[in-house]
Amino acid sequence: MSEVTTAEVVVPRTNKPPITQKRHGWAVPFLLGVGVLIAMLASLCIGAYPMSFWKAARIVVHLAWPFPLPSNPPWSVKEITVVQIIRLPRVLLATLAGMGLGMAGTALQGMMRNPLVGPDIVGVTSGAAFGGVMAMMFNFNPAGIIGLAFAFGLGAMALTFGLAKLARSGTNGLALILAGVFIGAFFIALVGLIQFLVPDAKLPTMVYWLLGTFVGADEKKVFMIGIPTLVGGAVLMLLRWRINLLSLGDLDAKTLGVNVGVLRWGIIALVSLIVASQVAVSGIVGWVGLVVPHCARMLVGPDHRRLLPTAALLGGLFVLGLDDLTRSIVKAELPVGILTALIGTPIVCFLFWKTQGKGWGRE
Amino acid sequence: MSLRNPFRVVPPCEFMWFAPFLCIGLMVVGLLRPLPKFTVPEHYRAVVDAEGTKVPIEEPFRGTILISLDAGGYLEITKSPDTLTYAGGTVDRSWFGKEFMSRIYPQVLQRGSLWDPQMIRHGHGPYAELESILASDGGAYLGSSGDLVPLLRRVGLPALYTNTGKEKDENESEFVWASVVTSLIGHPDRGAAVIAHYQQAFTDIASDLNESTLPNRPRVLVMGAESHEKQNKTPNIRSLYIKSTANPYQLYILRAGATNASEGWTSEQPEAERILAMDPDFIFLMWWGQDPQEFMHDPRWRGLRAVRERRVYRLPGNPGGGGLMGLIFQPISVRWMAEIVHPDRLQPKTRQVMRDTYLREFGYRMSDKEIDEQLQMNVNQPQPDYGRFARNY
Amino acid sequence: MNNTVVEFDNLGHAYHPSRWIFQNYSTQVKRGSTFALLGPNGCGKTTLLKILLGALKPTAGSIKVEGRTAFVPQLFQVTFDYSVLDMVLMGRARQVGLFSQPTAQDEEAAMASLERFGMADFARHPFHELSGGERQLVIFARALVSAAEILILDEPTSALDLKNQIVVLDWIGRLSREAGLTVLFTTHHPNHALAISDHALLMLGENHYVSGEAREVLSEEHLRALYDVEIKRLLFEHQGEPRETLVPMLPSSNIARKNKS
Repeated sequence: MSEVTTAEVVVPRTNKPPITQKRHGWAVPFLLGVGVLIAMLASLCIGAYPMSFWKAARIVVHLAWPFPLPSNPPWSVKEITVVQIIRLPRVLLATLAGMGLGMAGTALQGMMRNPLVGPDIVGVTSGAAFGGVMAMMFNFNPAGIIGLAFAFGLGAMALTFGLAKLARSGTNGLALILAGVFIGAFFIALVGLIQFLVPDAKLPTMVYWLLGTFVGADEKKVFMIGIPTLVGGAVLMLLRWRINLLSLGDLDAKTLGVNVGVLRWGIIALVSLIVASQVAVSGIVGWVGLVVPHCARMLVGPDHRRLLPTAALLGGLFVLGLDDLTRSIVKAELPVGILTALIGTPIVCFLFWKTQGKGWGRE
Repeated sequence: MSLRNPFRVVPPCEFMWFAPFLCIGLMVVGLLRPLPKFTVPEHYRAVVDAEGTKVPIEEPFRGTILISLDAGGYLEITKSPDTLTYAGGTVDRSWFGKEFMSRIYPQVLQRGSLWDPQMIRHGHGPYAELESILASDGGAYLGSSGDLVPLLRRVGLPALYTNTGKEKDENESEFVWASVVTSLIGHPDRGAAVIAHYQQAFTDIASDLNESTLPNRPRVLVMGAESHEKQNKTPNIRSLYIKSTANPYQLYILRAGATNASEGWTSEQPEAERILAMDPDFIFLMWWGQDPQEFMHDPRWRGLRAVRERRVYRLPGNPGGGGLMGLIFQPISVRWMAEIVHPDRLQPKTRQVMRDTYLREFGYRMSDKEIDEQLQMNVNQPQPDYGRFARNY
Repeated sequence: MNNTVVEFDNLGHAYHPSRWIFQNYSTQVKRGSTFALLGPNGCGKTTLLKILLGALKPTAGSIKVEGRTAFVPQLFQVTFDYSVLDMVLMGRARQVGLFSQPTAQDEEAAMASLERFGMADFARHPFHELSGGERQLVIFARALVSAAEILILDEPTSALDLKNQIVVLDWIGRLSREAGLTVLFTTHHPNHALAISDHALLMLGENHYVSGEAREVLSEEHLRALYDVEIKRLLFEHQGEPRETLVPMLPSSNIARKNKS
């Protein structure tokens, strides 16, 4: 770069405005990371079978550590059964779902330059639900369920985009949300149709599943959600700085040298994959993808290099916490989807009210 | 890709997301580890379950844990309340309290250790129940279907199936159930005895009825109906529910010397019109919904022949509880129905049979009041031919 | 080394089949020069910029752009409140790999660029709290950090107050003289064009344009044809140097009015 002689440039203002942007540095994501792991271990202690925190921690550490288990373990067979078969899959399922939704929501909001979108608003969740329900009706194997959910989730999002482009403002503002509402409603209607067609025996399970639940977690389901979320999430994490660029706008990003079209569709595909795997495994868990990025942004600011990991971890904590709530206090196993709606909607209203004064989209 | 100085320290932000991902990924993979196995006990006896699997049961026997099975049914067959270790949750307990069995074995209802206060009821998600089950300390797990039995077997716990789900009719599945449960507690003779009495009872009914010479077989409908007001107040309540061809009452009805008026109809919740089209000779109402008086005054049913002739009866059984079903009580119900449907053929013996059965099986002396209750005397008495069931007949 | 960085040849664009915005435009832009684009609203300046940036494909003709471009838009509406440093850092998009994050080196380059424009003190401030002129400078810093050779500006002074206009114009001049960048900008102020640009293009209509040296192109006749307004070009002296300016004429002068009353 060629040198320019530094000259005195008159600073246009006489007084510097105070720094209003909080930067907590890297402390917040680090604490969250530790917090999530501790929360997972604590969640393993909830249930009818008595288990202490340290015992659960030891069992998990030995399970996860890639070395053979000790032959004379300090835990009983029943205890490791409870952890490995009953509780750990469920805890993992809830955490992975939360992480996936947090990441997906953040990526969508950044990419669409609109902090009021989430996977359920944009239509992915409904499309994936329809794909999953159809696959269940035809008795597909797990890979087939995710595949069909992914296909329809992606399709729904593509339709939303296409519809929104017809409006002049494009991907900014109301047009996108409206398009998402229409497409989402259409797919939910299709889901209703499937519910009507399905034989009576399968109906209760299907209805319960649609409300969003982690009941019946086993290692098959954990793998079904784990692999797309962890792998897809890893790719999203690597692309997190690029989301900053995309959030500037198409023209700006393009002139900075970003291949906007390819990057956007890549992120859409990743988001669809993550959301489809979550819906295929645990039904419709809404509002997380909308609320968690907001809260994360309030904590660490809008730079996606910090925001994406924070949102992932915060989402994991949030959903895990709600699942613990439904397991312990409310013994009737209230579907998690209902809880996220009951808790998420007031939070969104509160955030909406809070940001009104500062204008659309400023945190 | 940018050229990075490999010796530059990577800023901590890169590992921030990677570390939790890695931990979670390791935990996910850790689930694949082989499951722990419970060891086969030193002293055991082998019990064969409904599918033919030989399950090693530890000696001495530590008790039965019921998975989604009814405590009343278990007690009926085994008659040994002491072998029960776990019977269900709070709702199961309240349902058991409504059954007659809880009067015969009140200790089962009262013993708190048998019922998990933190669980609401069976079958509300297999894994919720699994924790309660594992927390209790029993010798064997009895289940009828679902995922829990294979799951328990995977970790080496002794779990038995009481049915395969593929038996050809109600009778066969009842017999299998009886033999499995009684061999589990080490008294297969009890199961054999129950089956023998069951078969004997039906032979008696058949010979009393002299089936081959029956001039006609009246058409009978088993159904339940809710009144209009209740329907409007709670819209989801079952409004009409007939028992059509694919139902356990088939055998029942046939052996009482009648035919099923709902033969050929497959829907369980039809319109009132269909009932009018079936127009049965006798109507037997289930234990929920309208009682015979309400039913006969309901304008919907005015056109039915059975209503005109006032031949509408409530099925016998505990009010609020279940009916008289199962190997031990079914013959009583069938005799009861046969006496109503062929009053000229049969002597009034139902009361006696009921008293004798309870005495023989459980050593329980039924009072007259209890028998009246079981026979739904208060709602059935006004109908024709019901006097034969009264105590002074 | 070829001296021409931008060249268009019979360039034309039509959004609808028979409605051409402009047709048959041909010109060349030399390396290190400052090039002004003038024209009334709706004549296609923005369209031409988009074509230059590669965001739009021209309906007719061809365009050759040699070198990396950087764009400074007229308005910056950023949805999220990034800090100033984050904004400048985004200019390093070409240097950072697809799956990589910016390194300390990138951050240093961004800070250096901010210092150059005297905005280093604002590095941690949220971008939206800056005034119009300050934002302009930050975007300049971003453009520089991306190692671009051609800078394209869309009406760089229209949203600024007088002070900031001067600052920005000064910078534009310096960038091309001292840093050797080629600068293209659109403007509504022929005055500004005359002050700092070497060449200019006047978009007079569909087929009609004038292009060439700024001093020749920005004559009273051409400008009258362009804006349909009387403009006088005046020569004066300031601090011993000859200067020129363009003054639009109001239908009647203020002085005359005052004298009447």
